[in-house]
Amino acid sequence: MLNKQLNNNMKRNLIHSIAALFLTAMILMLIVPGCGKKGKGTGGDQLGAPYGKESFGDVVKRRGLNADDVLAAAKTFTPDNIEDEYIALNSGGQAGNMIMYSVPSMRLLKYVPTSTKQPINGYGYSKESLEMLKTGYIDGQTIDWADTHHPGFSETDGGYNGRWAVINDKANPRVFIISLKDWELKQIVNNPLYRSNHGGCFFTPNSEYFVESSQYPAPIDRKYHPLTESNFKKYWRGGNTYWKFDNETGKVDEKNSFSVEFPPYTQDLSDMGKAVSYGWSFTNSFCTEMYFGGIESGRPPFEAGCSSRDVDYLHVVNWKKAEELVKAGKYVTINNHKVIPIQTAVENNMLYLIPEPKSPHGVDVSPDGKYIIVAGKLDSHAWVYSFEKIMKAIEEKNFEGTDDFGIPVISLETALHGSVEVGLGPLHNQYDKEPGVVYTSIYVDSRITKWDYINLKVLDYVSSHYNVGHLVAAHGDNVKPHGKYLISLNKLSIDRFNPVGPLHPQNHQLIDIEDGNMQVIYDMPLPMGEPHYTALIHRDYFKSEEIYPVGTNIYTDSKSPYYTNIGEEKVDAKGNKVHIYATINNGVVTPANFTLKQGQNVELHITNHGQTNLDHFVYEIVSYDKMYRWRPGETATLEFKAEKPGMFPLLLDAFHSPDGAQLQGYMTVTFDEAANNERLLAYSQRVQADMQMQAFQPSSIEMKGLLDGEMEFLNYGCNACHKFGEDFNGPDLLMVDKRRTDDWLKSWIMNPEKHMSEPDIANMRQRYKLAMPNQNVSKEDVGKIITYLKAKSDQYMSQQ
Amino acid sequence: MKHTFKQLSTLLALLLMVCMVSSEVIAQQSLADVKKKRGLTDDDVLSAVKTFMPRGGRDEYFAFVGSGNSGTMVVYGLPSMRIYKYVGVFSPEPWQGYGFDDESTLMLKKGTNDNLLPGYGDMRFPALSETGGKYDGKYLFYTDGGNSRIALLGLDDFETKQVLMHPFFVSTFPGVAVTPNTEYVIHTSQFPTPWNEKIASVDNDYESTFKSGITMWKFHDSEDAAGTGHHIGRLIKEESFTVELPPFTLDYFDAGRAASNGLVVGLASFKNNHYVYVFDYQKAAKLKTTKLNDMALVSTQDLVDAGAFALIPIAAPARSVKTDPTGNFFITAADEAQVFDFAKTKAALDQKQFGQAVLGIPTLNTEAVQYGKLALGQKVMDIAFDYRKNVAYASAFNDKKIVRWNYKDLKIESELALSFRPGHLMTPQGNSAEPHSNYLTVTDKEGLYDKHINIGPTRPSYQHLIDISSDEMRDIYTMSIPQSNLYGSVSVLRTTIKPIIRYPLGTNTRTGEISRYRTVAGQEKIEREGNRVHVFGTLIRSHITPEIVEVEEGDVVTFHLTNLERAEDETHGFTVSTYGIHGSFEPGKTASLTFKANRAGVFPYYCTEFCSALHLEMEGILLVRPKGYKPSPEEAKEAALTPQELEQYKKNYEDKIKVINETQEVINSVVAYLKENKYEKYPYVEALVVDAFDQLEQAKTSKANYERYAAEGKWRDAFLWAEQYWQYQVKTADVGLRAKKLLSELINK
Repeated sequence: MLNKQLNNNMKRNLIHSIAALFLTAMILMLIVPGCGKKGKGTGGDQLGAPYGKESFGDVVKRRGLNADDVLAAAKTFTPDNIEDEYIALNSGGQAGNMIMYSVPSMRLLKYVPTSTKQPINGYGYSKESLEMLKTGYIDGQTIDWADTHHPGFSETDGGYNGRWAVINDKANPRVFIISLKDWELKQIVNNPLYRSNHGGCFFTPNSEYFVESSQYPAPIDRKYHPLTESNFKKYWRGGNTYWKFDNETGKVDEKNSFSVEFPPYTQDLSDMGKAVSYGWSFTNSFCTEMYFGGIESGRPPFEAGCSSRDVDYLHVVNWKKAEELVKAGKYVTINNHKVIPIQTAVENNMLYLIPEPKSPHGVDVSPDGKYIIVAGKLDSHAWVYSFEKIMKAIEEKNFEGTDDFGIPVISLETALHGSVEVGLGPLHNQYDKEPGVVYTSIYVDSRITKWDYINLKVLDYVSSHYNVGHLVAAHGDNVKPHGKYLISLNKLSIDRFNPVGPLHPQNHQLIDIEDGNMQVIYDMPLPMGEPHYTALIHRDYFKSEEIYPVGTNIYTDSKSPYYTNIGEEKVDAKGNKVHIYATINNGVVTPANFTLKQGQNVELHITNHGQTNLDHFVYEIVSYDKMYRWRPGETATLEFKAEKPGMFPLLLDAFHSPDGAQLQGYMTVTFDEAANNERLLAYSQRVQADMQMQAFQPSSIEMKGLLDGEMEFLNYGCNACHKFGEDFNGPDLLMVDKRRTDDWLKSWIMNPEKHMSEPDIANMRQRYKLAMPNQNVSKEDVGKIITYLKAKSDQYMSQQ
Repeated sequence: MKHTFKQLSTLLALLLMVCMVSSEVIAQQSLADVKKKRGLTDDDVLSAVKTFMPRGGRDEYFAFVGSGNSGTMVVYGLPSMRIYKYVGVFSPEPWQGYGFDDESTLMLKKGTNDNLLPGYGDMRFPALSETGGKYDGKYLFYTDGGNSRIALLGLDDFETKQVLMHPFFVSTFPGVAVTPNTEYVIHTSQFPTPWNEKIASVDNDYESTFKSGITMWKFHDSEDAAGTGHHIGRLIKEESFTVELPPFTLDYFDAGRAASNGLVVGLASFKNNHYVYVFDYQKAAKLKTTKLNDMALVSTQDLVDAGAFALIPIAAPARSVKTDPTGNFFITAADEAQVFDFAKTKAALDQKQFGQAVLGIPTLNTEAVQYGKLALGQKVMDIAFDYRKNVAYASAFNDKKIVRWNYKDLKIESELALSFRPGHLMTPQGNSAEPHSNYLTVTDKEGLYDKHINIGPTRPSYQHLIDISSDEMRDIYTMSIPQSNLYGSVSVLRTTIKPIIRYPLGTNTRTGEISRYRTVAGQEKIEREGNRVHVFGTLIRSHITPEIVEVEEGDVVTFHLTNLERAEDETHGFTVSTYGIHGSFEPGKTASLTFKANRAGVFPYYCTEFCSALHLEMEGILLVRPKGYKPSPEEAKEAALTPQELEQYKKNYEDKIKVINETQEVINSVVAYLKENKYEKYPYVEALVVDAFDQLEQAKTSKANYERYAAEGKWRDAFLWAEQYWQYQVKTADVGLRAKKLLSELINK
C-alpha cells in the first residue's frame, strides 16, 4: 500500500517535472538569448573544453543536482562576505592533533598540534615547543604522536565559556590543554596511574574539574604481575581521574587532583552531571566479565569474552563527596597521586553501579541534568536512567547486591526511566534545543535516530553514510543546546569520494536540524586522522587574538628570557656553547650570517618584531633540518649541535607572501676533527640501531642497479667512512681484497677490536683518527660484503 | 534593463530548478528562504551549484598541492574543493604510520646522506609523471628545498615510495619537472654553496668556489603494474647525472615538450642580473663524467663546449617560466611577460650564436630568440594555460587581478578583479600538452577575510576557484587549506588515476613487493633469538593475533603485522601503550613496528582505527617481565570453576545458541533480499556481500570449537566460542545491512 502510494507520488512528480522543464526551457529560450548555448571559442563537448556560459538551470542539469542538492548547496556555500557560524573542534585520532573546521561551510581551518610534531606550526621544531612536547613523554619514552579522542570545552554554569579546550590521548594516557585565545597547546598532563584512557575529557559545569577515565585496565601500581585470572582481579584496575582545573589560568593543579579507583572493568565514556545532578559523574564500562583473550593459546579472543554478559555497569560517582574525602585525607597515594580506594568510596557512599546495555559507548546527561542516556552497541535500545530514581534508590539503600569488589549495584528496574528501540548499534547521544529531544547515532544501521527520551518514542530518523560513530549537535552537551546543526562522524567513506588508495578519508556529514526535519546537507572528507568526537562551539562564544606582544614564548604565554631588542642582536660563545640572539624585522634577519665550529652546541634565539597578522615567518637552516615558524611577536629558539661542516644557506620565508624564501646569509661550520669523528661514531650507532628493525630492502627495480652485496654494504653503513678509489673518513677500499685475505677481512669486519694491536691497523688509526666500529655484521652478511668489495673494485678498474 | 533581465532569468531558473525536481511547496519556499536568511545573492547560488558536490558525487579532477614546509602532500578535488588526503612525504605522519613503522622509517633514513630522519621538507611545485607529454596518472614527484631531497609518490595507493637526499646539493629549488616521457626527473640547486662540506668566503671566493647545478634523475618505470597492483618505477641514482654550474641562484624551471623535447628552461640570477637558462640535457647525457659522492658529474666546460647550456638575459626578475602546451614557446611570468620562441632558441644554442659569457656561461641574444612581450600588471606572480588556443592567464599580486591574454597575438583579452592578492595559478592538466578549461585556482596566502572566524595567529592558506568556463571569469569558491604553506598545484583528470583499494596479502607498500614478514591466518608465531623477539601477527575484525605477548625487560621487540581484510576501507591501526610506536594497516598490508621493551610492566595494545562494532575489544596485552623475575607458586595457579559456575555457563551457552539461530534468520532475510534484487549487478554492493560472506566464513572455526567443547562438557569454552561465532554473525549482518541499504538506494535511484 505504502509502496503504491510512493510510486504514484513519484510518477506525479515526474510528470510535473517534465512539463515544467519544457515550459521553462521554452520561456528561457525566448527571453534569454544565448542561454543554453556554449560560449565563444569553445571546443564543443570535447573533454576539457570550456563549458561556455551557463545559466543556473544549465548548471543544475549538467551536474545532475536535485532540489535537495540545490538547497543543501545554498545552506552550506559561504562566500567571503558571510560568516560561518560554528567551529567544530575534532580529535585527530592517530594523527595526534585536533582538527578544526567551520560550519556550515565545512572548510578545514587548522590542525592544532598536541603531541605530533607539525612543521607548519613549528610545533616540536623549536626548543620551546620541544620542551612542551617532552613534558608528555612517559617514563622517558619518546612519544611523538597520540591517539586523541574526546575534546571538551571549559564551562561556566553548564555552558561553554570559550576559554579552554582539553583532549585525551588513549594510547599514552595524557591530556592536552589548548587556549582558545590562540588555539595553541598550553599544557600536557600525564596520568600517573593508567596505561590507557578513553572517557575524557568532560568538564564539570563550572570547570572545577574535568574527568579522565581509564580504558584498558592494567596494574594500577604500573608494575609487572603475571597474567592470571586471580591476578587480574587483584592487581588490574581502572579509575576516574578528576583533574583540578583553573578556569582563569587554564592550568591543571596536579596536587589537588585525585582519582577514584574502579574495578578492572574496561571503562569507557563519561559525562558530568549538571543542574539537578551537579556533583555526580557517570562512566560507562564494557568487559565487566574481566575477561582477557589469548587466541594464540586456544582461549577465545577478547571480543568473545568481553561481551558475554547481558549487561555491563554504569559507574555513578559523587565527585563532590570524593573531593571532601580527599580534603579529609581519606585517600592513598600512588605514584604521588591521591587515589580513593574502592572500599573507601563504598564506605563513604560515593560509588555505585547500575546495569546498563551491553558494551555501551555514550553516556550523556540531559541538558536539565535529570536523565542519563546510555547507548549500548550490542543492544538495539537506548536506555534512559532517571537521576531522581537513582538518588531515591541510594537514599533507600535499595540495591540488588554488590559486585565482586563490594560496590553496591542499583537494580536496573529501580533506576530506569525507560528504554526505546532506536536501531542496531546505538552509540552516542546529543541533545536538541527542544526539551526531551535527543539524537542517537546508530552504528550498524548507519543512521541517526531522533527520539523523545521523556515520552520514550522514536520521532524520526535519517540515513547517514556507513557506520556512524559519534555525533555532535551545536552545544549538544550543554545546558542550553542550540539545535540547528548536527554532524554525523562516519567511520567509513567507501563510494563517497574520489578514490585515494586503500587508506580512505573519514566522512563527516552535516545535518540541518533547524526546522525539525533532518536533512543531510554536506559530505565532508576528513583528509588526515580519525576523529572520534567533535565539539561544536558558536563563534560568538570565544574571542581569539592574532598577535602576541613582542618577545612572547607562546607555550608559556610569558615574555621569553631570550627576547632580543632590535639593535641588541649578539653572538655569545662560551666554550662549546653558543647563544645567538637574533631578530626578524621588516622581513630581515639580524645577524644575517654566523660562523660555528663543528661540534658546538647552539641556541639560536629569534624574536619576531612583526606586529601585523601578516608577520609570520619561517626561518630555516637549509640541509640542517632546522626550521621554525615565528608568529607575530614570538620569540623562539632553534637548538642544535653543529654536527656537519660546510656552508648552509639561511632562509626567511614570509608565510603570508607568495614570494618564496629569501636568502639572508650563510651559516658556516668549520671542520673540527674530533667533532667529525664523533659524528661518524654517531652515524655508526644510528646504523646499528636501525639494524634492530630490519635491513633496508629497496624495491627490485632499484636493486637492479646495485652490485651483489652492495645493499649490505649500505645497510651496515660502511659507506659513511669508505669509498673506492679515494681516501675518505677511512681507507680506500679499492682492491682491498688483493691486500688482505678473505679470512682476515671476515674477521676484521666482524670483530675489529681483535685486530687493533696489529701494527698496520695501529698506523691507520693514527692516520684516520678513528677506530673501525663493530657493526655487528652477521655471518651471512659478511660474505656478501666481501663479495661486494671485490665486485666494486673490478667495476671501478674496468671503468678506468 | 540588464539588471531586470538578470533578475527575471534567475527567477525563471529557480522555477525551473524547483519544478524540475519536486512539486513540494516546502522546497520552493526553502531556497528563497535560505537565500534571504543567509544573505546570498543570485551569483552566490550559482557559485554554490557549480561547486557543491551531491552525496557520493565524484569530482572532475584530482589536484595536488605544493604545501611548502608542511612536508606533506595535500590531495583535493575540483570543483568541490574538498581535501581528500594528506600524505606524509618529507615529514613523519603518525596516522599513516609514516616515519613510525620500520618500513617507512628505513626508507626515509636510508635516503639521507647521514642516516637521519629529517623532520620536515619544503615542497612547493610538484609534477605528475607523463607519457607522450600527457599526464599518465601513475606517479607524483616533489623536491625538498629544506633538506635537499626528491620524493616519488605512487598514485596507485597514494603513498610515498622513494625519498632521496641529493648527494651534494646543499640548497635545492623546491620545485620539480619531468621530461615528456618521464625519462628524467629534474632537480636543481637553488642558492649557491660550496659542495662537499667545504667552506669559503662569500666575499672573496664566491665565483670560484660556490656552485649551482642541475640533476637529471633517471627514472625507470615497469611496463605494467607489478603483481601487487603497484607501479614500481623508481629513480635510479646510478644512471642519473648532474651538470656543474657557476654560482647562479636558480629558480623555477620547466621542461620542453613536442618540438622542444630535450630542453629545459629555467630562471637564473647572479648579482642582480637575471636570465632564463636553456639546457639541452640530451647533449649533456652524452658527455663524459666524473664521480662526486657516487653521482656522475658533467663539468661546466664540457657542457658549454657541447653547446648544451646558455643564458638569455631578461630585463627584470621573473617569478616563473613555463613551456606552453604546444612546446613552441616558453613564457616568463614577469610584469612584462616575455614570450620566447623555442625553435629559435634551440637553433641559436645548436649553432652556438653566443654573446658575452657570464661566469663562463655563454649568452644568447634576447631579441633574436624572443617572440614578443606584453605588460600584464604589477607584480605578476605566475602564468597558466588552458584549453583555449594561445591563451594564458596571469596573476598580478599588486593589482589584485587575473589577466586572460593571448600570447600569440600579444593582447589582453579580459581581466578579473579580485578581492585578494593572487599568488600561484593552476588549471587542470595545466602543465601538460593538453590543459583543460573551466577551472583556474589562485592562491591567496594572506587570508585576510573580515568575516572569517578569528582562530588565533595560525590560520590556513587559501585558494580560490575561478570559473573560466566562459568569456566572463568569476571567483566562485574560497577554499582553506590548513597545514600548508601554499604554492603551486598540479591537477589531473580523475579517471586518469586508477587507485587500488586493497593490497595483495602481505604487501610491503614501500617496495610494492610481498614482505618477508607476511603472515597468513593460522601462521601467527612469536620467535625469539637472544633478546630479539619477532611477533608475526595478524589483524582482522575484531581481534589481533596474538593477544597476549610476554617478553623480558630489555628485549627488542618487533610486531610484524599483516591486515588479513579484503574489504575496502577496512583499515586497522596498531599501537602499544606508551611505547611511542604506531602503524596503519590497510587491507592486505604488512608493516613492522620495532621498539625496545625497556620498562617492565603491563602494556595494553589495541587497534587504533575504528573498524567494527567490537573495535574497542580489538585489544591485547604486552607483559614485560622484569629481568630475572621468578613468579611465586600461588601467582601461577588458576582457580577451577565451581559446579554452579559450570552450570551457569551451560545455561549461557544454550541461550547463546538461541540468539545465534535468531541472528541467522536476520542474515538469511538480508541474503534473500540481496539475491532477489540481483546484488551482483552492482560492484559496490557485490564487494560488500563478498565481505559479508568472508565474515561468515571466519565463523566456521568458532563453530567447530563450540560444538567440540559442548560435547566435552567444557561449558565455559563452549559458551565463549559460541559468543565468538555470534560476533562474526554480527559482523556479517553489519556488512550485509550496508549492502542492503546501498542496493535499495541504487534500485530506487
